[in-house]
Amino acid sequence: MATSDAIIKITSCSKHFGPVRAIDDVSFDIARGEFFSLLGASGCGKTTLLRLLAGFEQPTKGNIFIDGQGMAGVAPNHRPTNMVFQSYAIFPHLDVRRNIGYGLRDAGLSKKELDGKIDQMLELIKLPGFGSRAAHQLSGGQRQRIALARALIKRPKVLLLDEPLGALDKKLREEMQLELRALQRNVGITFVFVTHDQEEALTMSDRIAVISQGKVLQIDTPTSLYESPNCKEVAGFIGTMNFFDGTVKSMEEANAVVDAGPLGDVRTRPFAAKLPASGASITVAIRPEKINLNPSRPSASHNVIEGRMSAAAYLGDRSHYYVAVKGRNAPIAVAAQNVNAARSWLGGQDQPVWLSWREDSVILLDR
Amino acid sequence: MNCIKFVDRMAQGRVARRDMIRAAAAFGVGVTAMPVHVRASDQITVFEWSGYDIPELMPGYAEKHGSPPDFAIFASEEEAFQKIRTGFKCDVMHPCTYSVYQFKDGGMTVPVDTSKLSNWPNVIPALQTAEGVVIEGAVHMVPTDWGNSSVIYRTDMVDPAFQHDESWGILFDETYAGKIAPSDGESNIEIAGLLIGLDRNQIFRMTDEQLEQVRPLLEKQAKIARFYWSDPSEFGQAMAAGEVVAAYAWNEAVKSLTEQGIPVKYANPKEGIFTWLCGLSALNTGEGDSAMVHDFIDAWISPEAGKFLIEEYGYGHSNKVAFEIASPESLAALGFSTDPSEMLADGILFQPLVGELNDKYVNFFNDIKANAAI
Amino acid sequence: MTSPAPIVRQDSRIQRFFLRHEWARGYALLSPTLAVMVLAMCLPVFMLAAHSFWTQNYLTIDETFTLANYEQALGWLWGAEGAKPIYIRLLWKSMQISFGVTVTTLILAYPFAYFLAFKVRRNKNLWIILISVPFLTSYLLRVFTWKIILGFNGVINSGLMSLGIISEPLEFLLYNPTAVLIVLAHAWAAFAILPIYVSLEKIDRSLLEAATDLGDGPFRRFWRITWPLSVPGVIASGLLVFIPTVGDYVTPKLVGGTEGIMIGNIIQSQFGKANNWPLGSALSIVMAIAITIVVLIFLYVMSLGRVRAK
Ligand SMILES: Nc1ncnc2c1ncn2[C@@H]1O[C@H](COP(=O)(O)OP(=O)(O)OP(=O)(O)O)[C@@H](O)[C@H]1O
Ligand SMILES: [Mg+2]
Repeated sequence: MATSDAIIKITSCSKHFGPVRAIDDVSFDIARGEFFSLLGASGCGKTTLLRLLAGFEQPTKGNIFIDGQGMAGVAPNHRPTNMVFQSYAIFPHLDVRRNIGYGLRDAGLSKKELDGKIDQMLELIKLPGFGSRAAHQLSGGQRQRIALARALIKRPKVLLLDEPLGALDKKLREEMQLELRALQRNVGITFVFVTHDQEEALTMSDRIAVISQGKVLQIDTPTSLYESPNCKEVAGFIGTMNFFDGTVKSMEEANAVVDAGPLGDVRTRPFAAKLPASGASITVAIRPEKINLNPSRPSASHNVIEGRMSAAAYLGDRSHYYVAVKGRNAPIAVAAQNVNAARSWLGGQDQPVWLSWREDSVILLDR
Repeated sequence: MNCIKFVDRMAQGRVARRDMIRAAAAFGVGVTAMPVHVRASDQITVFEWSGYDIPELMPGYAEKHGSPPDFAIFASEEEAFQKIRTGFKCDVMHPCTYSVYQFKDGGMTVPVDTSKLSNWPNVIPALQTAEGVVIEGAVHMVPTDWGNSSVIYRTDMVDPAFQHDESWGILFDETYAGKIAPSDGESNIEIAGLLIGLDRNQIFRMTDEQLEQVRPLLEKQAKIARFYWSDPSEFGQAMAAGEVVAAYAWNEAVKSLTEQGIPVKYANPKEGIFTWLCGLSALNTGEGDSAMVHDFIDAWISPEAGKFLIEEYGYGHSNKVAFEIASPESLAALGFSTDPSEMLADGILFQPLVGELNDKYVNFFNDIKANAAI
Repeated sequence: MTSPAPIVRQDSRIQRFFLRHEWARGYALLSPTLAVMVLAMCLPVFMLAAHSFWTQNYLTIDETFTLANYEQALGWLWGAEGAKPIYIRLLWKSMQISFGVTVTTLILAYPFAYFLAFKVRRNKNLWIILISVPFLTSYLLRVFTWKIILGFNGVINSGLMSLGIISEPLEFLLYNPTAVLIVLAHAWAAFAILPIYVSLEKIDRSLLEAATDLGDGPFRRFWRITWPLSVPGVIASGLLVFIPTVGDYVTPKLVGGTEGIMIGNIIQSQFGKANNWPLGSALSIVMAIAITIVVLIFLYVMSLGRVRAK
């Protein structure tokens, strides 16, 4: 986390629209050259944060620094940022070349230099020869790339992207995700990328900020976010998670024993720095893929429970199972890779199964 | 012939939709001037000048037939003629001696049976037989109203000498450039004819050479006129403000401007004063009942209608009894001879411009106006 | 029932025809509109065209084909004997006035439409209703209102006089071509506002933000994005104002004085006082064709301009 070389510094920033706190006292840094994602549910304030960076909105409170310079009172056209809009905002009355070259009118380039730069961009976005196309003759993916080229040609210090892949179909989106990531490495520009798609964020980002109701919940690398979310909300938003309420029974060295109701005693080896106190109410979280499904009781003495198969979903590469446990309404989700052909011993509905998990698979979260 | 001080009333916020239609008609806009209510099929339709569509001018008619007739309004006889020609259905129309021939020639008029008019014996004898009333031995237009056309001027703003030497020439006089208001019509040609010394008949049938002779006069007039008026309210307003000091006008203007306290005088130009005589023609273009048409015309020539016309509008009426019962002040205020036969003999009676002659006059005047505008 | 009923109902030939031909269905649907259009628009135009080749004979019309009316209207161009220049000159002048009206109207309407599209956030509909409020009163009433404003002792004159700026009323306010221009521009402004407003309103706000984001200040952004995208609305408004005002005759008659006459006044007089429908028809058609030509040239020049911009 290269906070020492932060290109963006946000210090206790808030943005209110009347009673709505779209951004609520947010502070964090973004490092130079980072692919940084803002992830959150619809309406959580991602676009607002991006617009604060771009200068289309002024913070109600707090400051934003870009490359060490305070941005208060700096108009969007004077900021070292460029934006790729959610709708792409391709100028409909200009052809592709003019769209891409739009921002360079004042750069003092000769026609030849400008043409060269535009050609270079067309090359970069893999649309050479498209220069004279009219705006309405482009597909969604092409528009997205041109919007990207139009912003990149300005060589901004920070590129802001507002759900740029939202309008594309799944296949194209996945393709573009990789391309975008590769491109970012190539050009070395800091990307601030807004998305509500957690998978997208996980695939592409160096770091992700998870936002909810205007607040930043956690900023971390994709792995840390997934493996050690710092709160229930983050854990629930990224991936699937089984939650159980429990009480800390005892602490043995760094291990805890939690009485998790229907699960019985759960032993954990929490890797969070903060150790819960004995007797504290706590939430136990286990990822579905970290739970093993066994036809009979495994030998382990703890972190084992019996249940009955209530539903199964075959997804090709993996399967999802839902196992009902006594004393708990919601079934426990279990995911397993279909390494071999689907588990032959699984009979079907109501078959008794045994669930087990490792101590270090358990995450303890505040309730 | 219109007694609406339109702009004044509008300024006072008293203009109703009806007035709008009238004003519209005055400018040839509301050619579709609609009957005020959906036509009760059993009422006759009367095509009238604006301001004449009031019950006081047809006393007794509404009482006898349940309601007043349906009215439609026109601003000029030409407009009315075109409208009837293109299918407008009406039973009675209000032309003048100079315009009735058009309707007669167009086969629209039907002779009126004067024996069915109880007031006919009291119609001034000279009018009963006037040219235009009787055409080819039949009464095609029952005379109703008559009056003058002359110059009205502001006594306080025009050279005092003019009062002793009143002339049509003031409407062509550069001294008053930008302050005169002729009417928007061919009468200007006729007036110019008088000014170059043509006789009172010749001005209605000028030759091409004679027209060329009056051209400079008219071109000068077009340059110095403030505007050509289409509705008397236009120059009335302008005269009251002092914007215009002399205008072509009908008698009625004197009365209304004097009542407003404006010092005006109605000239008796040395070249001659114009006279007009108008009346009601029964038409065959409507669907109304002929007896009702006769009742309507009879009501119009009643002494009571005449008294109202004289007192309120300042025009002469065709019924001689009307002059006996009208108030003496209003008779004095008329400002012209109350003896119609004398007046008809002295004044220059407007004569019809028919066919090619009409074309020639209209196009000549258009030419003058267009040239002034280019 | 003697014969067995067919299982599938046999469509009549007409039904089958309509089923098979989509265009026929289209026309059938359109036919009421089409009938009205033909009756209300084509027929009068046809009558006008027919009249323009006939001759008026006092009260009757001689229906022998002749070009005399056109010669009278246009003959001056090729020096035909007795042909007068007034019609062409007046047509030209009317177009100049209309052009002035159009430009003035657009200059008035554009900022208003801009304001409405970009600055008004709440109650836009209310504003649009407000624009159309003048239409609740008759056109004549609005012209008279202008007479009151511009008149000899009207609002402007009495205002200036009471302020002591002038001692005599200004006479040039009314009864001249400028007055015609002012009144027409006011009358048509509302018509011009709406198309411009629609074209401005249609502009995606993110385009403007994108332009700003790419470095444009407000003025440059206007010229590079807002203006070009609103040009179609401006053209529509311009045509909407130019075409009908060339032939206007009410306004010049009421406020034009002796210099403000337009071609419409002469045409109206041919249909009225002059009682010469054929000449009036020929003049109308000449005017319509002249307007069409001017509009086509204008559109052609515009399209050239846009091709070049690409
Ligand atoms: N101009 C505005 N006026 C009032 N409220 C606003 C405005 N812009 C955003 N908001 C509110 O601020 C909150 C955050 O909006 P924002 O657009 O930032 O959400 P988002 O995270 O981008 O959502 P999405 O994923 O749907 O695009 C929302 O509740 C929204 O209604
Ligand atoms: Mg958003």
